[in-house]
Parts: sequence; C-alpha cells; structure tokens
Amino acid sequence: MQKTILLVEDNPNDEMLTIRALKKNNILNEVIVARDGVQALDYLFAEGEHEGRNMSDQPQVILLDLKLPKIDGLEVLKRIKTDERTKLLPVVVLTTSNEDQDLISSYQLGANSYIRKPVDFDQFIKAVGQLGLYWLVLNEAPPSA
Amino acid sequence: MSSAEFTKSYIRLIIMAWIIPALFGLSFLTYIEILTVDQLTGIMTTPTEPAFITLWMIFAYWYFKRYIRPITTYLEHPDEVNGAAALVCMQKFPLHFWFLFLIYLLTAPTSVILSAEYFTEYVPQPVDWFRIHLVALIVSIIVGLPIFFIMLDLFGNAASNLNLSRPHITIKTKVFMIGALVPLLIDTMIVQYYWTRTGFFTFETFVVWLVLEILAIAGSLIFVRSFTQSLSPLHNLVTESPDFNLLSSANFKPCSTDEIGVLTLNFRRALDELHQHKNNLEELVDERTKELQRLNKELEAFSYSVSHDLRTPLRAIDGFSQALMEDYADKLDGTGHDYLSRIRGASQTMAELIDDMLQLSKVTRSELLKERVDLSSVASEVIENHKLVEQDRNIKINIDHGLICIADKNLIMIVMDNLIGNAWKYTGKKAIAEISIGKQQVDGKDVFFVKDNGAGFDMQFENKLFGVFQRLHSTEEFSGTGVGLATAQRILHRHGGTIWADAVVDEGATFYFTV
Repeated sequence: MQKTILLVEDNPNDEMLTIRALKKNNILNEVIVARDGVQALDYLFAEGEHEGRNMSDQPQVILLDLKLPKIDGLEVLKRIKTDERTKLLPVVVLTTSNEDQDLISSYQLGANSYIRKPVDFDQFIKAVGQLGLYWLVLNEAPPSA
Repeated sequence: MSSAEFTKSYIRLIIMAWIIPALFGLSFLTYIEILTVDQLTGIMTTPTEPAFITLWMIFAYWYFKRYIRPITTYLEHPDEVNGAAALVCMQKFPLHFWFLFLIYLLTAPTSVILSAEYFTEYVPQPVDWFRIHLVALIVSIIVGLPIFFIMLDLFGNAASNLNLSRPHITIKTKVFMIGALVPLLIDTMIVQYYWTRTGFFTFETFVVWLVLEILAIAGSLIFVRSFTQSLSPLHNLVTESPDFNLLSSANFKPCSTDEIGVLTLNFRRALDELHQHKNNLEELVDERTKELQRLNKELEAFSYSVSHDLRTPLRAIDGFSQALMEDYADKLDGTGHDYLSRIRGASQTMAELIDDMLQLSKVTRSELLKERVDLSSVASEVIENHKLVEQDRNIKINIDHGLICIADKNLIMIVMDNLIGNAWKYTGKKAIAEISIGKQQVDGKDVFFVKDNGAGFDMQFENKLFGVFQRLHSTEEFSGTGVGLATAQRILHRHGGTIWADAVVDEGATFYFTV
C-alpha cells in the first residue's frame, strides 16, 4: 500500500502549490492536508473528527508549516516528538521563516529536516522534488509499531 | 609647592624648634633668678652645654631630613604610589616629632645642671632640678607647640594635590594637643610663681601642684570631649565610607548647636535629597529600559512577520503565474507570456528585497561574538561560491595571505560577501576582470580593501553609496537591491570600524574598511 504524506499548511495557496509541486515531481502518494495544529494532531492520534482511524497507518513523512492557527507548528512538533506512538515519524519543517530562533527550536524539538520555502516557484518545485525523493524513496522509514 | 621650597621651610622650622627653646629657656632661667648672669655665662662657656645643643641640632636635622623623604619624592614625582607614601609619612609625623622633642626636653635641663655642677662653681639645690625642668616644659610648650602647628600647615600645603580619602591628621588630634598642653602650661606657670616666691619644695607645695595638675587634666579632657562631640558627625562622615553613595543620612545627627551642627543638618538634607534623586533616576532608567525592551521585542515580532507573511503571498503570485504559463500556454499569446514573466520577475525581486532588509535588521539586533577571523580564507570561500554559480567568467583573482582581524565571523562574512559580490557583479561586462583583496597600513591601523576594475561610479555620488535602497546603477545595467553596502557599513560601524570607497567610472572601484 502507498504511504501517505501529511501536509500541515493553513494557507490554501501554499497547499495548492505544494501539491502541484509534488505532482510535477511525479510523487503520487496520497496527501492528507491538515489546516491547523489541532487537525494535524487529531489525525495523527486518531482523535476528534478522525476518531476510529487506524493508528498503525501513519504517514511516511509530515510536512509541517510553523505558523499555524490554534496550535502552532513548534507545539505540534513537540507533541509528535514527545509521544511514544509518533516520535519516530519523520517531520520536515517546511516554512517561510528563516529566523535563527525557529531553526534552533525546530531542531531542538527533534525536527528531521528544515526547509525554507523559496519564492521562486521553479526552485520550490526542485526543493519539493528533492525532499520527496529523499523521504519517500531513499529514506528507510522506521518499522511501524 | 616645589620640593626645594618645602625642604627649606621644613628644615628652618626644625632648627627653630631645637634652638629657640634652648636659648629662650636659658634666658628665662636667668630672668626668674634661678641662675645668675655669671652662672649662665659660665655654663655657656663649658665644653659640654654648647656641644650638647649642637649635637642635638645636627641629629634632629639629619633625622627629620631623612624622615620627610617620601614627601619630597612625592613633590618631585607626584604619582599615586608616592602620594600614598607621603600621606603615611605626614600621618606619623606628630609621633616622631613629639617623641624626639620630649627626649630633648628631658635631657636639656639635665645637661644644664650637670654642666653647671662639673664646670662652674654653682651647685644646684634639689629644688632647682624641678624648677629647671618646669621651665623647660613651659618653654617647650610656648615655642614647640606653635612650631609644630606651623609644620602641620606646611604639610597641608604640600598635600593640596593628594588623594585624601580619609583624614590623616585629624582636627581631634590638633584640639587634643591644645586642650591638653595649654592648661598644663598655665598650671605649671602658677606653680613656678608660687615656688619662686616660697623658694623651696615642700609637701604642701607638692599637693597644691598635684591638685592643680589634676584639675587641669580633667578640664582639658572635658574641653576635648566637647570639641570631639561637635566634630563627631564630621568625623563619621569622613571615616565611614569613601563612597558617597553608601553614606546613610541616619548616621549624621547633629551633636551640637554650633556651625558644625548646622552644617551636619544641611549635609543630611542634601544627602537625603541626593538619595531621593538617585532612586528616581534608577526608577526612570528601569522604566526606559523596559520600554526599550518592549520596543525591541515589537521590532523582532515585526521582522518575523515580515519574513513570514510578506513572502507567502509572493510565493502564490509566482507559483500561480508559473501554473498559468504551464497549464494555459495555448490560450496565451506572446504578450500574455511576457506579462506573466514580468509578474514572476517582480515577485522574485521583492523576495530579494525582503531578504536583504531582514539581513540588515538582523545585523543590528544580533550580539557581537568577536574572534580571530582569517579574511583571506573568507574571501577565497566567497570567490569559490561565485565561481560555482558563474563558471564561464574570465576573472583574475588576487587574495593577499594573512589578512587577519578580530570580528564576529558571521557578520564579517556578510561584509566580504557583499563587497566581493559587488566586485564580481560590476566587473561582469569586462573582458578580463580583476579583483584583488588585500591590506594596507594607514596610521598604524590595518585597512583592508576589495579592488576591482569594473564599472566603478562617479565619486560625486559617493555620499549615496551606503544609504539603504540607494543605487548608482540602473537595475537593467546591474541587478541589485541597494541594501548590501548599507548592511556592510552597519556591520563595520557596530565593530567600531568604518568603510569608504574610491572609484573612477569604467575603471573600477576600491572599497576600504577597518574593523
């Protein structure tokens, strides 16, 4: 079965562009979109609207924006990395910010990678392509629980 | 006051202190008829008495000339160490002076009596021993005390430039000398008169003398105590703490209704007011600091939101223009494609502007971590990066070895990146471009430079060079945002350095900087 990608992104433009960039790179995995921190956590922990979801079917990689409504990206990252059930999931921080503080906090909380979204769409496609290739094809995911 | 002047006055006083009591004492003994004129002449022509006085004078001269050496050294070389030594010397002077003077006082009458006994026909009676010693005491107080005070004043003049953090000869000491010695002198004179009249030493006269002396000492102690009480606030003030800020007004209560009492009260009010002002000032500084911290936080939040929020819509503009060009290519003509690529170009320029502005604000906010930086290797690294991007350029690079400075490595890298980036960019239209990076010595300071043979600029516009968003070339000629040199200047200013340029149109530019 094809592994999924969890895209946590509140901006519909960025969501569309990211999905387009994935398609352009022939990454056809299913993309699940969460539009705020609460939705993302609900999905991962099968709570709220996702209650009853099969927890063993977790995404291959989580693309996480930092600036999110309700619960912000760093908090989402912290909860993922401190919970036994999800701490092995690879999290790629995909954000507009390149403030040192965000970089440091993300890595301290256990982010696996940190990518700044370029404005130039060609470069954006390249970046998404490379991270898709790396995390979905090259990288061996940890065995699911 | 010069060292020579001081020594001259001082030695004159020492000689006076030793010779005047001797001459005055002997004359007085004759005047009150303890000695006759013949006996005095006899004593002064003996071998012992003149020798005694002369030897004492030579000794006192030698001893005190040696003693005041720290003061004369200080007057010749007034520095802190010599000043401290001079103060110690001044402080111990009363002890040395009175110790030697009292020995002189005890030995001088003895020498007179012994000289008379062995070399003249005069045979002193036991009562004469006491009379002569008493005369010596009177004379020494009358003459010695004023001379001693003149000496203290002389020290005071020499001390005018000294760093006095606490008193070295206190007013208390001076008051004590007058308070203890003057009543003693008056009593002794009364007794002397009494004895001269009765002519002999009896138990009765001894008791009278003793009672008078006890009364005199008690009186003088009361006198000293009264003065000391008046002076105590002043004394506390100068001995409590040399730091004005640590003084507490609670310790300064007036202890008298005289001038010092009033002074103490006024001083106390001033001190209270000062402390109050200081507290107000501290509060004000606290308030301002908090305000600044708040503003700084706001600025940081602003930069953060610029970094994040301004770029997001730009990405959408660029991304969807691209999508339009790809997905609807067949529905757009050449003009449509051109418009879309202009939209993309503009959004990318704006992204660059935002990045440059962010870097500029980061440069101002970040803390400086100074270390030893090898500018030569930084320059090579920057050049290598440019070579990777544009491999087909024909550029002669010359980087001097051993360009070392002390700076924040990350920030100085931004400076080098901007300056070399400019050189790289503005030599873009030369067939053979040349960039050299090196160092000159100007007034003993290291001046680094980045020199190119590129487009240069008109020195007329030099003052616009380092302004934010100021450009001397059109974007069409050379791309850029006009923030790089402003950033470089801000970094160098934060390091305490400076940057300036020298250029000729079409011949090249040289940027000089110090760190």
